[in-house]
Amino acid sequence: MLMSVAVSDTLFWLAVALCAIAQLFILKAVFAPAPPPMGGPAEAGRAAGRLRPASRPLEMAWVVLPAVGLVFLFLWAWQLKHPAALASDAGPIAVASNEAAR
Amino acid sequence: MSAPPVVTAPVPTLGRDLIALTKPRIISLLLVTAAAPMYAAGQPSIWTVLLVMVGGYLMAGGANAVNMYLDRDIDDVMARTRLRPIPAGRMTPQQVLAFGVACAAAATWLLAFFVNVLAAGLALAGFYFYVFIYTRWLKRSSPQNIVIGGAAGAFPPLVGWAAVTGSLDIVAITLFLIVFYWTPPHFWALALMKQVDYGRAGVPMAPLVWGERETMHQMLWYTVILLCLTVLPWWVGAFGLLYLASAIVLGALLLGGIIKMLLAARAGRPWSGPAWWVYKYSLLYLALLFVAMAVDRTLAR
Repeated sequence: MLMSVAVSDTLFWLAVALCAIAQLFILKAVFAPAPPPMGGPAEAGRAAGRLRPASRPLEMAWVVLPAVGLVFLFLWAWQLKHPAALASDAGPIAVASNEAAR
Repeated sequence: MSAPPVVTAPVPTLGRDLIALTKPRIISLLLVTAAAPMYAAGQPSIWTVLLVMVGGYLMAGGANAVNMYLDRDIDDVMARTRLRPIPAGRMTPQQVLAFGVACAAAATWLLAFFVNVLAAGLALAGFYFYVFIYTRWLKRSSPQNIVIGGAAGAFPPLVGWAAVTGSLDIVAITLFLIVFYWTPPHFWALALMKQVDYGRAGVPMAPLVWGERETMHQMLWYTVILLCLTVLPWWVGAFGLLYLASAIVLGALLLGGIIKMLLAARAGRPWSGPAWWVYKYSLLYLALLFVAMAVDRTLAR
């Protein structure tokens, strides 16, 4: 099945938008967390001194890291499908290196 | 009249205990996620596939055995793990550690000499990640334990891909991220049902730290990203329509299960049934998604 570039690119940006929204909600759970649940197994664990609060900066780093990975993956995918965009950005350098190679 | 047959549980033996240390049921899924990318990446010989399967089993089994050595204190307080060889007193911690390290060493040698160094290095990286980053560091200190620790389970597709191509590309990295984003919804479904066990052991699983409702929301968001990622290999032209259709149908079912669980929780209805379904279906989901990749590429050649 052949799909026009416009439709294909729209699907790509739709996926990027959905990922961005989902990732925002994932980040929110760490950067603006709801109060911890009271009662139940969590409370029992805390009372027994076994459930310790996690380090906030580390928690933030752990949740940001995969988001950065996603950004790089989508950039990589976009550049693969649209190599011209990359080439035009680095046009003179690419031409110069090709000349040097000859 | 003959007496009815008596059904008894298998008597633990050293052989059975050694196999139990490797957690064979968990490894079977890891092997699918290593083997399928091999057929998606190229046309491997049956010999290469066999070597990756044996090496992969030994490496993952070794990691699981070392995990049981490090977790021996909490395995004793969790009903689910109380019968493992160390807490049950059938093996000493030193024996289990030695077995785990020996398995990992054998796997590294096998993969490095008979497959390639990149595949061996990636498998060993998965071992270290699981033992040190997940088990030793994150498991007992952060609700992100499963998220970041899940990367350990995402190494098999890289190993399979590297075994065939000798390199990694965007498709291999996408497969890594697919398993990475699949892990939280899968394990949090289990964590929702085993909260008492995890609470007793002091493991800060997401439901204990964030609450049940927030964990379910997080499962939903991770699944949304997962479904987008599963479309990416088709978008870059690595896989065809058979894979795309499989990814959409399988993903829609997973998303539907999570929404059903969330709606049940919101309405105050019992949600453990849907949560159990999500846990079991997510296993099938990942296996079928990876099989679809291999079938799609094999038919296209």
